[in-house]
Amino acid sequence: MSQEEMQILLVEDNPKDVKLTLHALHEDHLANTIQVARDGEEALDFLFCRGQFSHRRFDHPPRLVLLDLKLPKTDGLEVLRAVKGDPRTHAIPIVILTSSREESDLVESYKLGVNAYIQKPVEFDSFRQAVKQLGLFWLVVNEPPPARSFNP
Amino acid sequence: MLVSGAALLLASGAFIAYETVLHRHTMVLDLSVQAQMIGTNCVSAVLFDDPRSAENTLAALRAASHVTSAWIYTPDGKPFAGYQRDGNSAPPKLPPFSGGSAETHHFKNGQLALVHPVTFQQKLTAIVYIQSDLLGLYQRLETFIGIGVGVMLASLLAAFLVSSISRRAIAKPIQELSETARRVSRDKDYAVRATPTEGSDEIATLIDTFNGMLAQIQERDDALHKAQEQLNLALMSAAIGTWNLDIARQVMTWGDSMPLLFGLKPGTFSGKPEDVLRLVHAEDRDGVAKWMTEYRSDDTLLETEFRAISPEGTIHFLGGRGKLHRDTAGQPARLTGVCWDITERKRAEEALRESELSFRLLFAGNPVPMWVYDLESLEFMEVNDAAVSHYGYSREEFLSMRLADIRPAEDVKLLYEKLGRERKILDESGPWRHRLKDGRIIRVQTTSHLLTWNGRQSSLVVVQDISLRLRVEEEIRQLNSELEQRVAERTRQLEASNKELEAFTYSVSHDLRAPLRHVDGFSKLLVEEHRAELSADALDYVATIRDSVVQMGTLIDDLLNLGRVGRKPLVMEVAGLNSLVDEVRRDLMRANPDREIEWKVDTLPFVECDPGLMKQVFVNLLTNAVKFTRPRKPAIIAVGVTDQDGARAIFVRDNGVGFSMKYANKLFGVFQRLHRSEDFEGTGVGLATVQRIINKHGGRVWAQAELDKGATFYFTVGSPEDTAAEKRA
Repeated sequence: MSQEEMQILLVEDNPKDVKLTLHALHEDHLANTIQVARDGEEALDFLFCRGQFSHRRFDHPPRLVLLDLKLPKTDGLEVLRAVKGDPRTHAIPIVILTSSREESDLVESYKLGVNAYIQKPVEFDSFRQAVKQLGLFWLVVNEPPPARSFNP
Repeated sequence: MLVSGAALLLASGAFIAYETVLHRHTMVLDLSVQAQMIGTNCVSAVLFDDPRSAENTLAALRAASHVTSAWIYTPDGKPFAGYQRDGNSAPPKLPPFSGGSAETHHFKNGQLALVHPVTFQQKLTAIVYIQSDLLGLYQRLETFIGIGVGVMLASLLAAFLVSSISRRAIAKPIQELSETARRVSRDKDYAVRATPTEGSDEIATLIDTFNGMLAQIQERDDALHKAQEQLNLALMSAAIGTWNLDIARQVMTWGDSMPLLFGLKPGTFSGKPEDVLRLVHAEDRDGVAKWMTEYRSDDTLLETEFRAISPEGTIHFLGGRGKLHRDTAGQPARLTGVCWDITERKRAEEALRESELSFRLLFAGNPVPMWVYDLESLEFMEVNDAAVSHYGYSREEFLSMRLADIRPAEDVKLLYEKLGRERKILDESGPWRHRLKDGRIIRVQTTSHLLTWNGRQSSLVVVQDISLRLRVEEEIRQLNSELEQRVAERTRQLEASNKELEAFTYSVSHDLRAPLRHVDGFSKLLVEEHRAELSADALDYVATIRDSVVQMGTLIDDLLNLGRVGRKPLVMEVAGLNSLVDEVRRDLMRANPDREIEWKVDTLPFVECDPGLMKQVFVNLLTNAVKFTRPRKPAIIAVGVTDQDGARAIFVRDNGVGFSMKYANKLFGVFQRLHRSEDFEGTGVGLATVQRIINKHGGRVWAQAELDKGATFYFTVGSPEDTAAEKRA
């Protein structure tokens, strides 16, 4: 997968959720531009072009990051803080896609500058619907930030 | 006039008498001369015994008409010759004749008779007897009397005229003056004045002077009255009465204030000294009687005190003082004096005596230890029984000690420091340490008061033993600190368990839902991608699985919500309930587009609440209302305000299936459901959440319903003060 095709970064530790999410995205042919990170560490490596992703460049960020909160090693909020706190990455749209809707999580996420917050519905139809709409909105409807937004 | 008449009469009488005497004398002389002449002429006739010649001589008497007869007698008394003016008569008998040559005469029967002896050569030769009438005298007298009467009449007339003139000018004013004087002295009326006369004679001056005098008297009298009134007023005000005793007559007179002192009505006192004594307390009677008779050398009476009893029986204490007045002979004549009311003073003295006694009792018998010490020597001057029993020293031991002696040696320096500072009249100090006789140390608080005791500057000290209190306080302090420690520990534990609980629910909210989602997701995918390979039964099972999953998800959400409500602190602000209801209503309408619902939402108040939680209340109640009116067409849902026992209550009413009040007590319990889940879905957590939220707000929630006839849920929120504030706004 070329760098240019990497349009969505899905940060999700649960393979079943990965599977269901990808399934939902597949139906709209969005799945092949998805990079999956299985923990916060990996997500940060990807976004900050380091480690195994050191070949990546900051001027080609993903169009959308779907971020789970409950993650091994570095959790979602820390990832969010790092991305939104760095001028090189802060313009990247980040949508929290998580199981809980604890108020403290909502508050913290918005304070850190999250672009949207979605609780994963238990019912699959609703879940699929939500993921589809997300993908379409951010990749099709929304105008992405220009490259200049990522220069400090 | 009478006087002048009498004087005139007297003068006239005297004059007439004088004239009479004078005339009689003249007549006697005249007759004597005639007798001598006759005698001389008739001497020869007698000597020659020639009566004819003698009678001729005698006849010459015809010229003297007043001579009525004349006779010549021989010395032996024989008539010799005679003359008679009128007719003839026998010669009168020669009046007794003394002999000698002395001539005699006498007045008799309106006649003057004169006997004249005639001597020749010192030898009685003849005696001439001559008689004269008194006509001349009488004529003169008549004339004189006539003149006198005339003069008298004239003078009386003159006097009358003069007096009637002077009466107008003098007597009348004087009479009036005297009348005025009489009135003044009778009526003591100094305002009257004598009528002034015209002119400036002595009378006018007299009247002026008299009037001037009256004016002065009136002025003095007025001043006297005023002074008397002031004196009376002063005596009345000071409750001082004056009295006067006439010793000889035993009559007592009283000044105006006296009856008041004795409690009598004015004017009812008899004036008898014995009646005064009757008003005196029996025990004081002899004293008063004696007092009034014992004068001191300067004639004053000793000051006395006695009790007077009024007719009503009220007792007044009176003081008395007096002075003796003596008559010109130096004998006691009268007593004057004053009495005054000393009841208040007596009562005050009594009260003082009592209060002094009370004070002694208060000090000596006071259950609180007290002492008095000399400020200079710091020696104990007096201690009370409580101090003796509390400290164990005898009174004598106390009185032989100083303040420092009942203190531990190391505290004495502190005591002197304290005593060296400025002394306040009333001072509290402590805690001090005092040593009892048995060596025990007590801790005390003292209150001291400066005073003069037996002439010494001293201080009264009240001692409060606070040993026990301090010990108890110390214990309480220890207990408190232990308690605080325990509370802190508990709080820490609680905080820890709270954290744990939070972590737990956090993890539940994430981890419990994920498997459900997976179950549902893959079931769905199974059906979608392998429908052809599945039998009708298999498809049904999968549907059931998915149903349960959704139910489980809702349950988890509701439970988490309930837990959140319990843990979360309230964030209070003033929120309009109408806007909350509208938001919820809109969501519900969107979620149930095919339902026909008639909403009746009243104007709701603004209340102080946690708006997020309050919204949750409406979400739960209105969701229920929508849910349980599903069989109704149209469904009617009302939200409003009502007054419930003086408290403001919000209600949500529906015309749904309702419930039996039999189960009302189960309504708000967790997992309690009154409907079967195939009829109405639900977890049994919604109303429990509502109740928890309302309780957190200090309100209460209750329901009223009837099976098949709808239900009404009430809840109160906010205090009545909020309501009042709202009305003002």
